[in-house]
Amino acid sequence: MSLIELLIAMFVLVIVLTIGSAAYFSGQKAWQHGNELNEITQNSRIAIDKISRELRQTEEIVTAELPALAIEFQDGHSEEPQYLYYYLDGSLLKRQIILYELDNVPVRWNIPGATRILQQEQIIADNIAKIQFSGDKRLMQIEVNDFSTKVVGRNIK
Amino acid sequence: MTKGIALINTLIISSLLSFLAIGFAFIMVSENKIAQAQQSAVQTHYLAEAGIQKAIWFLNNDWQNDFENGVLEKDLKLTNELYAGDEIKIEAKSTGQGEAWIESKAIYQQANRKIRTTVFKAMGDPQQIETQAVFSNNEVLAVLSKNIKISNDSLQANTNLDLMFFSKMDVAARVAAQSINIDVTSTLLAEEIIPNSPSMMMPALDFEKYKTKADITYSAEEFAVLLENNPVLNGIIYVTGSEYCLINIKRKQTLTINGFLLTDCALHLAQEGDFGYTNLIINHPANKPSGLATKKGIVINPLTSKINITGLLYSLGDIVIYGPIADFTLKGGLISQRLDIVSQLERLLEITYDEAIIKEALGVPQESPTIIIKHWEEEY
Repeated sequence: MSLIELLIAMFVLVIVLTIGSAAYFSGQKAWQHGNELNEITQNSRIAIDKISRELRQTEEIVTAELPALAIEFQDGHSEEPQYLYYYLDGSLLKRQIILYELDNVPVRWNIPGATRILQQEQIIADNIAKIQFSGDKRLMQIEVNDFSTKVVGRNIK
Repeated sequence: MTKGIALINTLIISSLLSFLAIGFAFIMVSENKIAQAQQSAVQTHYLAEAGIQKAIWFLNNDWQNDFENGVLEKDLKLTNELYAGDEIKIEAKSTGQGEAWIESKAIYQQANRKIRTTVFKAMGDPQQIETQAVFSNNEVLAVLSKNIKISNDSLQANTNLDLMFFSKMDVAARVAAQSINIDVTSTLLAEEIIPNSPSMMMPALDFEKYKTKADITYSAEEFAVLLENNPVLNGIIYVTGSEYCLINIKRKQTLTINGFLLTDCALHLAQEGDFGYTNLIINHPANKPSGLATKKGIVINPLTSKINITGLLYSLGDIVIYGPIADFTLKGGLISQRLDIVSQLERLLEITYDEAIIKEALGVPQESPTIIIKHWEEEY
């Protein structure tokens, strides 16, 4: 084997390896990107699903002005007046259960003298870059990341 | 020695790539399944909603007698309603005369959705039952409202009467409720106070009849445009709309009706708009019905300056008054699902009973009146 042959062989080998590794790494990058997209999609879906279901059965939306980046409304499931507050903390979507109390009795939020008490907080979704509530209080548009939906509040006064 | 290296390299690289490809394919398959499940979940939700609407149709038709007599108990299973292989289970039970609980459960492509509602139909025959100044089918609540006056007649709340936080209510005649709760800071004055009183039927108002004999009918959108010019309207005015429509009498708007305004929609006063005051004036033309009637709730917000109604104030939903309203007078009567008066402070809120006006507005209901959904709840 002459030196020229060796050089050519090495040159060809380097080219083949470069092309091969480029294909591999770009494949891996695409995989990662796909995974991230899936993650974002799933989280957005969960968020939008949960919020729209709870908005459908709420009786009253406390947040005064729309559009808003966070929302507070009455919990449609509980017998005693209880409120839910959704807001974005970094990339985490959090849900708080809020009570308004007057003399230790849960009352409606706008009863004069009532104190706002945080009852519970939980993380609902991660990887959320944007959340917005717009439209009007009966027919509300919810946007989570690139997803959006419109929800009609069935119990809203 | 180096002769087979290209083959080995190729094998290594292609196997790595094929691992990636296989993994990716698996992920895509499961993503596809998730997306499909998402789609069928939405379809199943609306199937369950369709089940509720179907049950309401039955309440107006096949099940009407049982529903009105309070003896309804039905289980119904529907299949292939909208999609091949779908299933809707409907359960309906009476909770009183003209009141029922409905559960609709839909199953489609492994998704399950459940909706529960309570529905209600006002059934009291206005010509037979005794009318009152204030009738609430559920609660009457007053908070921080020191000057509520009910002149000439009585108040009936089918569940609670709650007076809280420095409230005072002065009723000329009788106060009857299932339970009467007055905190230490509040006062109730009445000629007679009757706790544990039996419920009375909510007087029915025939919206459909009024719709056919209305002088003018507007859609909610048309009415919103009309409101911008502070209109004065005469006769019977009917505003139609979808089940979830809303009439917003905004701040700085004044609406005057010489007659009767009826609507399918909810009505909000002073909820939106520029800074300014909202006024609502309803006058009673001689020998003609007058007032305001809504199928959904009425919410009156603080920047409402004047509510002067000579007529019937009727709502199949709740009436919520957030004060202080500077000038609130109602001559005729109030009938609603529930009545809340909050923060009226020292301002007078006066309701003066006039039987003739109430009866004139209620008329004689002929056709079956409207069924409304009182409460909506979902479960997955």
